[in-house]
Amino acid sequence: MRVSLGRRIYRTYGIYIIFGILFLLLSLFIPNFFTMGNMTNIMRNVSVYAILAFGMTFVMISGCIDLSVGSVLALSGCISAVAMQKGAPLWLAVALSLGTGCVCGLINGFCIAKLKVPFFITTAGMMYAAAGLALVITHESPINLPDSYQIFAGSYTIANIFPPQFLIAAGFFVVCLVILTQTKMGRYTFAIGSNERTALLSGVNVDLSRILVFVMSGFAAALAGVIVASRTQTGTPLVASNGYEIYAVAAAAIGGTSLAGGEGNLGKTVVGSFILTIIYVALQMTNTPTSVQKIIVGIIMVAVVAIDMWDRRKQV
Amino acid sequence: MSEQYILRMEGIKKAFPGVQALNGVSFYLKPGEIHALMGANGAGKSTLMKVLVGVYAPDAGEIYLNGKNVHIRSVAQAHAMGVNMVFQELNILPHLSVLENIFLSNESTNAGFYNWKDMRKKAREILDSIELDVDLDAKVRTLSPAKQQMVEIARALATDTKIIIFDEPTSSLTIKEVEQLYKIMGDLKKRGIAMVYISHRLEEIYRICERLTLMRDGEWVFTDDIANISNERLVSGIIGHKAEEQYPEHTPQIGETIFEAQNITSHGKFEDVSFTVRKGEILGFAGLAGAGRTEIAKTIFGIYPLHKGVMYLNGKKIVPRSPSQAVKNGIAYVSEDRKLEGILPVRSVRENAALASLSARMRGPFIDKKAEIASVSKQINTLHTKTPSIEQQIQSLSGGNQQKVCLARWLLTKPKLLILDEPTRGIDVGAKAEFYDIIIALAQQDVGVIVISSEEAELIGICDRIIVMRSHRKVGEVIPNETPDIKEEMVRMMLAMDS
Repeated sequence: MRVSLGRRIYRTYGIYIIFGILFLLLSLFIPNFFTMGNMTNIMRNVSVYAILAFGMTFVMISGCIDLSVGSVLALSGCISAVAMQKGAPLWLAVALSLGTGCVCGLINGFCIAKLKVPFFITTAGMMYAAAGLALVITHESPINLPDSYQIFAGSYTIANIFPPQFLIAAGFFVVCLVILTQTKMGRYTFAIGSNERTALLSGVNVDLSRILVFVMSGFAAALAGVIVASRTQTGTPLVASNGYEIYAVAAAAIGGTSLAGGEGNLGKTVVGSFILTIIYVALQMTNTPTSVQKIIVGIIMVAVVAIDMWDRRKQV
Repeated sequence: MSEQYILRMEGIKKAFPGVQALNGVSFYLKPGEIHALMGANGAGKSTLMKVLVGVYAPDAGEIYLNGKNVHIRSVAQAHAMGVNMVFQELNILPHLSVLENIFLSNESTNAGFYNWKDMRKKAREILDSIELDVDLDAKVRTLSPAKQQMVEIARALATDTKIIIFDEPTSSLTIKEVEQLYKIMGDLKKRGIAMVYISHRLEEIYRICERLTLMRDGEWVFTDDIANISNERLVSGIIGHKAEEQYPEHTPQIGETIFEAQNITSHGKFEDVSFTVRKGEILGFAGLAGAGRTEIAKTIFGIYPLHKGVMYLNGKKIVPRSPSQAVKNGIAYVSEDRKLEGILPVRSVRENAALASLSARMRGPFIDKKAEIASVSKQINTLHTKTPSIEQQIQSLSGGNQQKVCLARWLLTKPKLLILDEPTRGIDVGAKAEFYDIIIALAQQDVGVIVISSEEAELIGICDRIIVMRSHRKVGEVIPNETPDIKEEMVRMMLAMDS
């Protein structure tokens, strides 16, 4: 199979080139875009999307989608807020939040792997249930968090440029990258996404691998939830309806993670997250109404995947 | 010109990647006859009939219906011309009602709306004519397989059918249901409908068919009246006298027993089978499709449940409940369906080859990539796999090389028992010879080897002992170089002929 040089370059570096060009254009045409302050702003914004997208990359490589991450994110923040309101120390509040995310992922994974409920139904069910639970435990209104909780995403910076949540996201990226590329779990994630039957017949514990993938995604959502809560200083149940899950899917898909499973690259998911974020930041800096922002993000998402599919069709 | 034949298929050719499934086959059908179509697995019977009903487009050849040259390009078109097939794998829509299935794509309409009243009346008449007593509104999935098949026949009758093809129709029926099917076929015959009957069951063929066409390796062998066909002629026709392929010489050093199965049963798949595999020995499994060979392999490998009997590996009792447990026990299974069960299509040769043996190369929680590259490269080279690099996507390799990667995956687990299911299917001749060398070399390294194959010659060429299966049971055991007329003997066993 001959692949032209141009297409090979596109496949390997395409997303980086697109990001580079986009970044250059925005820097040229939007005043104050390419400033130290705005770089920090971008890093602040990208963190939540990127963390969600890392978890989603695992899920998509395994051949599924997790629609519940937006709700789990909200629930996670609310759990922290309620826990601290009741006097729990900081570490316990965070542990409860992250633990809740893992349990949500565990339930998702169990229903999909063992009960054979389609992932779309399972995670849509969790999307509703987690959002509802967030409302129940907060009595349907935001709960303020104490100042100590700001440590994860307060307005301070490290080394005068890095917001704390960016360093958390970077750390989580390294962990995810190691798991995906250096461990059995990562290898099995690719295997079950590429051909579940082959994986099973090669001795892979397919059910366990599926469950672990969703636990990973649930943990990522909860971690993102801690950051959102820290940044807003509240546990807000309505964050669940912000559409975070779609941003996560979009970031991974723009980064070339196949919706058919079996393929994906965390480095490119980072770039996908950055592309979404700089567009978002640019739209805010130009005072574009939220409604128009949504239209633009929607179009970009479909367009990028359409180009990817077109490229795949050519491949065969 | 009055036409003796309702159907003439002439010089039909059809190739699939890597195999010439039909090589200039001609087939003639008389009105009102039941015509048996026979041949070993892969002879091309189903392919020929699928060409007739428009599932496959032929590469060459002509089809004449009632003397008129036709080009059938879809199943719907075949229906419109009065050609229907009752498929081996049932072809009805399980969630629709009996009525809806009978008139599927053949609905009676009135100004664009379904005329249910009319359809109901017609359906009742058809069902009465084949004495099928079912509720028209019952969902088809709630019916027994036999009744589902009858619904298919009813569907054929709802169109003005001239030809009905039955592909192994009795395989899932009880004796009583089979009798009922024959009765219906007799009725259809009286109406002048021609029927093609694909089956392996000689007894049935002798009973209901008038003529028989035999195929082998995609070629027509003979067509004759059943009365003129002796067992001998059938057996030699099925076997043929093609040039013998060369199989490597080997003198087995047979040692102690590695694997033993005692009276193992998995209900509905195989019953009461016993055998042993000894060190240095290659054990073959022969039989027609559906005889239960693959099912035995998959039971040993922990996919299907073991209901009765015991299995021992190196003297230790094993109860594999999942493939992962079987792998841990040292059992390896190379599937007959490479595409569906053998490869991770979008992953690299390295990842495919390393998949089953990751645990052997861990450094703490991490995969030792250097060790992985080293052992995969070594194994791939030992098997002479042709790939630009081990990072190549496996799906871009040829079938033979993909198969070598699948084999490498299992050799890297250092198995005690290796089960190869149709290891050379869809592989070219040169690569086949290489595989035979590899298999024999493995047996000499103290691996117990089981080979399942539909090519008798292949089994005779490389195995030390061959178990013959028929209808879910072991019906005999033959030994190459010892059993006289071994090929004939095997075919007789498979077809249940008395020798």
